[in-house]
Amino acid sequence: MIATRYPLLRIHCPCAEPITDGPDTEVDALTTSGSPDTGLDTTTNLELPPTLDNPFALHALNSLYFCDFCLVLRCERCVVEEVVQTYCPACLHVYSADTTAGGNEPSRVTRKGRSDDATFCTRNCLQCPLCFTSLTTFATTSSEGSEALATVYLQCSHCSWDSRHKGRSLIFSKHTSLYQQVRKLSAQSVIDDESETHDTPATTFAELSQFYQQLYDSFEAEEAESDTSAPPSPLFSKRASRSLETIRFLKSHYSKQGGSSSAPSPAITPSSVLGVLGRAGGVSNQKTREHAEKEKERCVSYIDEKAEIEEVTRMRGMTSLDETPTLSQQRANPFVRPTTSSDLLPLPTRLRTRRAKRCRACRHILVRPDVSSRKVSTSSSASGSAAGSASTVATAFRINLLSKNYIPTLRLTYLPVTSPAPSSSPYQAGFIPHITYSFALTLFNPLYEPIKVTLASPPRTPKHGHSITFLTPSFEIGANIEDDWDLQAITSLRRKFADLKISSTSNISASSESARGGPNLGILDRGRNWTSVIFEIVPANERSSEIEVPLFVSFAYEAEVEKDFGSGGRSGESGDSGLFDKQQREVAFWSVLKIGRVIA
Amino acid sequence: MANSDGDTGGTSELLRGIAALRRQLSSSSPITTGASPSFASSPLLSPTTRQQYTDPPVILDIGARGIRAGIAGMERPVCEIPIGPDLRGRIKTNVLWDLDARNTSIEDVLDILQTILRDVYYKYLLLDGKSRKVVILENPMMTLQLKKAIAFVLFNYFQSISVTYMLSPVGSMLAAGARTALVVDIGWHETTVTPIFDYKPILSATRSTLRAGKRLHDLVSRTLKAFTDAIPSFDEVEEFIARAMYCSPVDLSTSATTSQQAFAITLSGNTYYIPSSETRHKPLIQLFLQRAEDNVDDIDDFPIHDLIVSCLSGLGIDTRASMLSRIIFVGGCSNIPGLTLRILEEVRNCLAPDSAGGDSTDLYLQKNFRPWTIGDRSRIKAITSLGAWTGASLYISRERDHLLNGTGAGAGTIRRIRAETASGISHTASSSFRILGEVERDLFLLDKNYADNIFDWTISTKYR
Repeated sequence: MIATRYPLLRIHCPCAEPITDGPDTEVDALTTSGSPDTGLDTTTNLELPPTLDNPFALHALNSLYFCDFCLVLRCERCVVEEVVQTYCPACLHVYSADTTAGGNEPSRVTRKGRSDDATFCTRNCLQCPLCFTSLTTFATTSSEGSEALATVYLQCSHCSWDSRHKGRSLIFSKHTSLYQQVRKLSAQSVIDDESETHDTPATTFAELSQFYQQLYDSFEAEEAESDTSAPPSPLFSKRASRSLETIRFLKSHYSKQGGSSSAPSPAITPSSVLGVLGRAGGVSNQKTREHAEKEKERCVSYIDEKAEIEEVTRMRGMTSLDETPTLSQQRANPFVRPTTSSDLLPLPTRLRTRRAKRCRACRHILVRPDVSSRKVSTSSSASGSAAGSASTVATAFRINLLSKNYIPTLRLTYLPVTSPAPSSSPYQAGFIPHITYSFALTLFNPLYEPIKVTLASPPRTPKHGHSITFLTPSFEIGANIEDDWDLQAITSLRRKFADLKISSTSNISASSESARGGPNLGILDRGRNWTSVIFEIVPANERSSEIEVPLFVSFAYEAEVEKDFGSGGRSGESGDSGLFDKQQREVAFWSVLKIGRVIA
Repeated sequence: MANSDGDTGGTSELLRGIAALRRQLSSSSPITTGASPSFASSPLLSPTTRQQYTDPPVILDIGARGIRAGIAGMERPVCEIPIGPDLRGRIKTNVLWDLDARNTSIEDVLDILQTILRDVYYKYLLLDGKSRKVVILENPMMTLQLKKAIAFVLFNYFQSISVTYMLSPVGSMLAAGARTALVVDIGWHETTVTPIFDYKPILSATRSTLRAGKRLHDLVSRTLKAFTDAIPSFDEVEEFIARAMYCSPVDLSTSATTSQQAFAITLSGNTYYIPSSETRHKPLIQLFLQRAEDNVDDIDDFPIHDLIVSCLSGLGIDTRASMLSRIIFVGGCSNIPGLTLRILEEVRNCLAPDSAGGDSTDLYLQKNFRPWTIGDRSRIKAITSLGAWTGASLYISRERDHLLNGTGAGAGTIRRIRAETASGISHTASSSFRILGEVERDLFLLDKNYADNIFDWTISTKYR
């Protein structure tokens, strides 16, 4: 169990709400209920979303995206992902990238005739079978003779696992294509213990595959002879088609015999029916049929009871768990399941993906990795790709609509206002019931426009009834404009900004002074693009209960939207009201502040 | 578009346009069944390339304790992910569902499945969910809600093209190369015995017992606690079962050679020495093979060998002979060394004992099975299987090869499938291959009635 580090902020994504309520209606309902005008009064009938305590619906700010078309947060569940690139995390070699590269749409990875190799690095990246860190290749010392030049062994720098020290010493004949060498080794590993008849899963699989192929082929041949309405799957066909034939044959037989008269004709005797059945392949040729049946099951192999008993006696002699690999070590090997610790082979490295993400509602691209560097290298190294020339993965993104660039960042600070200041912060020490704790909640505005924020929370936490008081539920935060910002942009924004700034600066001086005088006024401090407000918590007398504050944050701003999307973009750089429209935008979300625990 | 001033450039552009158009047309045809355009069937979401219909499907083996996933045609699944608490502390259980449906909330199942399948797709398979069809292995006892939930997650979150359920015992049998088998699946919640005769599962004779992994886990946990006074965690118990337990193939209790060997285990940091056979061997016998004291086990509580025998007795007399020599053991607990041999031995003791003896029920059974055993113990045999996942992989990849490039014609020719499939939806696109009983996304998400009934193989609806 991982201990939670307080304080913790999680943002709720409404996509997990019951399917009947669409995410859009949800947001609308919330924004109206918590509108800035009514402020605190509405908090009494504030309706919490039902999935607010579901851990799957709560996300860290950094793992959320923001669709600037729908104006909603998007979590990992409400984006559609597309694999754009796969690469090896160890050597950064790119294994596949988009091949079509059309327009602004991230294209799909095409992997024709893909084998399981496509999920592993097929170069020299191997992992330690014990602790899964990357292995380092070493050349064997020259004392071992002239061959030493060509032989290498592997060592783990973390747990010092050494490929030479295991049951059968692993020294590779060459330092290239280690993956293939390990693969070959793992195919042999079962044959190793001298019983030649023991098949590896790989050979059994190949045999079975061939066996079923033949079965299908024979069906094909049979079908070619009689092109009747055969069932779609040949596995189920042989008997079915035969019985169909029989029925058809019997039908025709009876219709020939019976005709119009209702009395049974003397021709239908049990023997004649049997003959018909025999002709249709039911009874006759018992021997050949038995042979065919046997042939059909020639891949069946019985359990090797002797080997099993040997295994049991080996297990019985064991004195500790160390002799068998752990479950995760057993699961990690993609080729064979190791049974003893000495069986462990180096593991291939799994590739990783770079993915494009779209909003699930409007299909807007939220994240699109930049794969351009790859494209350059493919064209240049198309001829020498076998040599594995440098085509490493790029780390840049073309589009990356992270939520932290669109919604205010929240930060919580404890204010030791009580006169005997506690020695340690209550996050670790725990909260004492019935004592008022004050916190400063600082909101940072990442937007280039000033925002008007409204906070709302229920007066008591829903689970344990800790009482919450926000002294200032509604306030403004200045825009996020750096001093050394692009001059043109500043001139375009200054006009709009000027009157607001005057009002806010006067506010700052007033509020900060009064805040120091007494905590009642709410706004503690204020900066260029941030505001700190005070809120108080009185923990209820519920032992070791977690203090989780549901907090509804809604903010509104005036965004400048391009008036006409078709008219050539930003050719006129004046950025005046001629090109831009002002649009009132409102974004809202629920969050949960996990503050700490009540002292037990 | 028509102006071909630079002749090569113009024509190539033209060709590209035609290709795009063709692609559009070919992609639109298979999904015309969806009634109205909606969130689910918007053109951007629908697969646009022909390749997606012909790529090998993803095969998922979703069990209560873990998920195995891979792509058809591989010999082993790419990954095997256990279900357990995750790093972010969101998953709190170790099982995906409880046997008692009242203790399972479908919302939880959806959440956990969604999280794990995301890992499966993007960490292990490295694929988009929407690019492949999905084949899911189902236990014959899987509940309908669960099947629906799995399909919903795949369709809704991953936009899979289609979902097909395939019986996992059939997969196990195919991976053994047999056409007739008695598949004994020792799973987590239940041990299920499914007879399959000539590729057809005889589901009416399927039996199950609660003596399975969960019970063993609880028992071992209690045993370890009794011997060490420490409370072992879930993972510690599981590691102990998987790494230390063994089952001696013959009954050792009579020969009284129980070794008093000590076995060292580490529980939450402290090392304890526990008697070996008491903890590593006895719980298995007690749980899987010991009958209730008064010999009247509950109907869902039979020992495994009795379950096999009762399943065999319920079969028609024409199928028993081949079943006896084709017993397949699969499932997590069947990997415990010696356990399958021991169960087999007990079955032999029931049906064809070494010496005359046993109680009256056994005698009756022996007489009943005489025509097939002929008193010969070695006629009762078990066969090896590569597991349900591999069987499904074999079947699906062969089926795909067969349908996509019929062996008669040259490779690459796409064969039209003549017959209608089990779900009664006729083929609209020759560029796709259908697996028997495929359920498509659009129909599932748009038609609630269809979604409710399609996975229920006990009722015949108009959809089936």
